[in-house]
Amino acid sequence: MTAVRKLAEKSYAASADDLVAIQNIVREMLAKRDVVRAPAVNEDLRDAGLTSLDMVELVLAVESAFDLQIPESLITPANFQSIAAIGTVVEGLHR
Amino acid sequence: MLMRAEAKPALDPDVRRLLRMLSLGGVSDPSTLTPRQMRQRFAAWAQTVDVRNAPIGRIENFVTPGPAGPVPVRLYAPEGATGPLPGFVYIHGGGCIFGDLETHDGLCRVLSHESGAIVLAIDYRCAPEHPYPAALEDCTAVVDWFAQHANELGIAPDALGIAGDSAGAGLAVTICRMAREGGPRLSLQLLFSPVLDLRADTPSRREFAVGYFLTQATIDWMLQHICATGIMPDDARLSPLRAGDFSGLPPAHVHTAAFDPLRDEGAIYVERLRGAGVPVDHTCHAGMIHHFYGMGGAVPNALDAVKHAARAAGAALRNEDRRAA
Repeated sequence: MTAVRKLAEKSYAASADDLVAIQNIVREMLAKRDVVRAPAVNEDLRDAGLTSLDMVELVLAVESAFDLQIPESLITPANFQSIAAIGTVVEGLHR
Repeated sequence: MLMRAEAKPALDPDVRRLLRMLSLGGVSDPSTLTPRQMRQRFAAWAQTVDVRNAPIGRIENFVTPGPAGPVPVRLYAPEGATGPLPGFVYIHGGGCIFGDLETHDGLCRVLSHESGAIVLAIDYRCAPEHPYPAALEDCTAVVDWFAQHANELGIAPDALGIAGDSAGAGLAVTICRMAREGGPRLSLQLLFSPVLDLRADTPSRREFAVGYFLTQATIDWMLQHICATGIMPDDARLSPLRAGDFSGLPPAHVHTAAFDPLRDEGAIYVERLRGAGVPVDHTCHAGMIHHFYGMGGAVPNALDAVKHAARAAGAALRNEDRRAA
């Protein structure tokens, strides 16, 4: 069991699968910039190196991966601060 | 930044969503970016928001002669097209610093497919590695080559247009001005959000300086790199609005965006052309921002706008062809 799954089962609203999927999106984005590190679930994504343009790519990639459109009102810095925060948004929209 | 975007209900809803996503990263400061970094970012942006794999009949990559060596170009031909077709040379935007054939591939596909025209996109030399006017010289050479080889490319020689966006549209205008002195006959200038005055001090430059994708900070960054080698921003080749004579220019289709800092200089150009007796179709696209024509994948209304613009431009060149015959 991965660290992300263990964490998710303990403390996050999002499912472990969702968190892993979001983490993979972020990891692929960072890999394109030769960063081979997967950010921690609670790490600030801007601190991890994502720029304004990256955030657009991230939101669109999450929408595509989960087949949903995130309402404009939910596209806030707090909701996209970390993988865990995004997971909570996705979980809320799936319910 | 965000509040200002929200106070403008006329922004297209998908554009507003994109601006909100951009704002998630905080206010970006381009001043420390190198040209290489800006190129990477713009390429990533285009991959993220532009239309992908739009239908096209045929694509060919080759080189044409240029003043400093071969210039890479990409030819787009519409599906099933026969007989002499209209043709466009396409000059991409990016401040003559970034952008390339890939960043404008979606736009050029749509332009060719919807207009029924051959499109030849130019991968011209960019500053600061190749100081201005290298970009202008490459594009001029390709336009000449395109006109000289129209017949073998299946293009009606009297249906040759020049198209571009942003700084590329500014280059297109300068080439039209230069072509009046014995250059190739150009029958249409198709311009998306042209850069026409590097020192413009218009209401749109002030109103949309922050928070609408193309920021004044980015414009300043481009100026710094373009003018690093001594060319002045009010040089008429870079700022064609500062030139005097607009008569004898090709008919124009000018597309500006309602929330673009460059909106007003486009409108001023339209006025100058009309004043000089040049026929102009001008559309200021409601709800749109700079580079909307490259956001077709994320903004359906932007894609529709480009399709409509392409059809109108193709029709204009066909009419021109008939008149000439």
